[in-house]
Amino acid sequence: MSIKIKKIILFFFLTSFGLQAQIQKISDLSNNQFLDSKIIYDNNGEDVWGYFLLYKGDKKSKSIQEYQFVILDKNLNKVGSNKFQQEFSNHWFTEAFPNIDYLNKNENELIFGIDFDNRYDFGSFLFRKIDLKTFEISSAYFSRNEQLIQDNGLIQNFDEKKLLPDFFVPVANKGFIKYEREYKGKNEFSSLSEFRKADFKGYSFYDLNLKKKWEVKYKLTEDSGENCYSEFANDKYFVVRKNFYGKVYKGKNKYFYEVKDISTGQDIISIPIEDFKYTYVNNKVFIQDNKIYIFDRIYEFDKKNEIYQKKCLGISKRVYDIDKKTFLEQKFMFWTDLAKFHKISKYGEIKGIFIHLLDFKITSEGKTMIVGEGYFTGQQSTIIKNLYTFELDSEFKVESFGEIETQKTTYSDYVAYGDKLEANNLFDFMYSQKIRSDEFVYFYSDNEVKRGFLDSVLPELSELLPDNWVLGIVVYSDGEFKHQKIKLKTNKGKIYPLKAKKGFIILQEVSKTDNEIRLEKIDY
Amino acid sequence: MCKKCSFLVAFLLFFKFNYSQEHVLLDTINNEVFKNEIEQFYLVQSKKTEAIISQLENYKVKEEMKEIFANKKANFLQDLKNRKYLYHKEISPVIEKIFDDIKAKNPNENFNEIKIILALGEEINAYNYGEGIVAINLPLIINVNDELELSFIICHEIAHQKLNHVFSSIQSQSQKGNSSEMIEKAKELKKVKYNRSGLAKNEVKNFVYGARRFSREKEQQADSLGFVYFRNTNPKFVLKSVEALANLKYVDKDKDSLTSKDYHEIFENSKVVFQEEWIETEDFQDYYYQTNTGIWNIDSLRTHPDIDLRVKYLKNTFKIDESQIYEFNKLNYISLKSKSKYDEIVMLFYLKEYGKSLYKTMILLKDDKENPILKKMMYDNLFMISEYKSQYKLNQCLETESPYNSKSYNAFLSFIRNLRKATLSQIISIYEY
Repeated sequence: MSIKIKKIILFFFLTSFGLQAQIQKISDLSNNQFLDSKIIYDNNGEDVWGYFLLYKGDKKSKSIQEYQFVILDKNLNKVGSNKFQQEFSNHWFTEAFPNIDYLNKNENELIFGIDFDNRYDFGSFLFRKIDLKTFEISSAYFSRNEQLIQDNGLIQNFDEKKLLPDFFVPVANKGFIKYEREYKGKNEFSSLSEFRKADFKGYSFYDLNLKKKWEVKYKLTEDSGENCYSEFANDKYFVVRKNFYGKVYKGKNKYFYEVKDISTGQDIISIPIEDFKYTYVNNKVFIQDNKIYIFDRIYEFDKKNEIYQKKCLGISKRVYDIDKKTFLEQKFMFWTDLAKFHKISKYGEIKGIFIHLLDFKITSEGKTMIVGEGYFTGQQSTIIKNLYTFELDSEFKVESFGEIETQKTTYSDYVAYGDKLEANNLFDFMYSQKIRSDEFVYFYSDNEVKRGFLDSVLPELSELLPDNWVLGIVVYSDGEFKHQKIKLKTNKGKIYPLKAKKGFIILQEVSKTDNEIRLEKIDY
Repeated sequence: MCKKCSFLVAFLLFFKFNYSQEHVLLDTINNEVFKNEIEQFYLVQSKKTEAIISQLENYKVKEEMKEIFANKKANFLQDLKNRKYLYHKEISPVIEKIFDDIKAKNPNENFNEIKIILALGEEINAYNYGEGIVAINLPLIINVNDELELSFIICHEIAHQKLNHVFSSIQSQSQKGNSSEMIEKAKELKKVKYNRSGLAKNEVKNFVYGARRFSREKEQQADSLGFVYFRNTNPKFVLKSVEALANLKYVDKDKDSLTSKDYHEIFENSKVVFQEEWIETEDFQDYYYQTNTGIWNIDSLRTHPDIDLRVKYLKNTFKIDESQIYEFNKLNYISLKSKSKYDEIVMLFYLKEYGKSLYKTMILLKDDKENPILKKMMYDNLFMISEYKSQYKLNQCLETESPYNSKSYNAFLSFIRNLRKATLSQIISIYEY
């Protein structure tokens, strides 16, 4: 008799203590093989609404695979589940293990986009909608040449070239941006690198139903867009950072933040990035209470816009009122302002390391809370060490500056400065959350610990990871930063910290035989 | 567990805790004697089972049964060692007396190979473990209305044992699992290229549903034989049999709750200023919970068929006259139940269910604020909760909010989690002894 049946028999006749009913076992949620999961954020994108887990079921035919999704609420209670069948191109080199690349909750509808092993790279989603009342799931759809294609037999009916969808970049909870490029004689699908090199000739905004709402076109004869761009949005505004070097700018680079009404695409405000006092390198931009906050690292002014990474002077904070279309203030913090707390050089060198600022928060009183991390860039290696906390008053004067010692991480044969380390997710800092008004929590761990069930960690891997991992938790409350550490090694295996609802963290304990998750309140 | 707490558990389990009502919390005096006696009994029964299994003809079934019963024995002995089963100075004699009555009034039956023991378990449940063991979980003692209802439940469970249901069910499932039909199906499944797990799931489903039907039949048999034992024992009170069953329908429902006013009263006259936001709960309205989220309907796996059907079956089969109502003295049992509430709190503490133990403690505390047992349990549970919380293991001893919990319980879960370190320490200090 199979082990499974034996277990069922024992289930009937034996009782046990069952002490850990509060813990959700990933394997208990489905009989199928766990593949991937993602956080579902609430409608305004601020807090966790739940979790979306994907499991692999039976192969139904040569080119059809069955999957199961399971939705958990923010307390890890099972909300619902259903199955769906997904076609896939049946090449010998293609394995049908989809990643969840996109997930968006819009009222009672959950839209998710999957991608098979990033085969078509960023933005090439096959979308489906889930009704969160009935858990019915739509057939797959995608956009191609601005047309919505929805067909159960879409993969069978389209050859690969035709199948390739439009490249979308998700923007907040509202929709997607599709960048239009000038292809210099190249086929747009010849390669993604070619695509990225092509000139930026405008962009279009699509709503969640993949309907084009508005578009922006640049005159390439006058302006040339640089390849580098970035964008972010909230429910009201869309902000894109653009770089032009067209004739009207007399051959010089010009950097702007372009703020638009996300519903109509109408221009609201254009914010210049440069002045002639300093050379600026952007650190963080965000919108809070209809104000745009721009934090830049400042370097001595250079006409060619060149900077020396080890000669950063400090940081600039600029604030604009979007509704009133006005500049409100610019303040500076120089590294030398920290001298009363720590011995620090003009260029921010402190005990042989530099600080890269990672997280900025504004309190209700206009204070700025910053968390950064130390790094040292050598000739052949890069070291990451220690966390730094800053509390600046409404005038941007430093009220407190603290150092939290962390384990040193060394990347041999890897040379990088702060921006690159941050872009490649190599800092120990994980993420921050607002717990409530003027209370924040910051999480960090050794770099490798960042993986968890949200990244499909295999239980076998837990054995390979170091024993001295800790999860660091820094809480800002009652006007001060408090720090605590949790060991991430247990008798059973290793613990992976994962993002949870405000004020909580999910701890996923993985061992060779088990994979369970529990929701823990931040204790402070 | 910290040294202080290990000592505390030992203290609670083995030593008297004097209280004005002269009730002794989980008094397991003579527990070693009890443990040895039950262990010896089980080993004797187990040998008999092994002898029966060795007589079986089918080799595969025989080997499988040996393995299952060896595991079962190991589990039982481990649980006995861990004090899941114990002798309680006040509760165990009540159970023994009921069993003695059943024995005396059913002289033609041999009940010598049956032991009825008290078990520590969260569920309101009694079960026949097989091999002569019938276990009564402590919460069942508190949730039946009187000893007559308990008597019927005991009759039902010993009927299972007399009918040897555990052994025959395991044997039957093992035989079915090893039948040529099942083996053939397994082979067929291996050959299938697509939809294999779907087909396999159907087979398992059929297997389990089959077992369920089998179990229903056995439940009906146990109800019938149990009823006969009960009628012989309590001829004037046959109606209590169906009342006992009907009561089982409602035992899971919360009988008391904690309101905002209760929290305010519990913390009045202390330094802690209760804040309403501590008991704000999740808004589950935002979710549409699927009613059947299992692979298949888990409810259909219940071994007990619907209570209503069972009541109807007993009434019809034995022509129970609902007009025959006789009065009897329940006072002793009501007093035992009342005192056992404290045992339940200690039991939950012992099972490391500190959240549930604290919740039940607070419910009792609201009407009995100076009760030393409750104040002590407040401290013990809060202390352990604070330890687990600081180690980020709180979910191991405190459930998370769920749409299936009562509003009061969810508010309590929220309350514990919302307490800041300093406030929790303040509350603990109120109850420090």
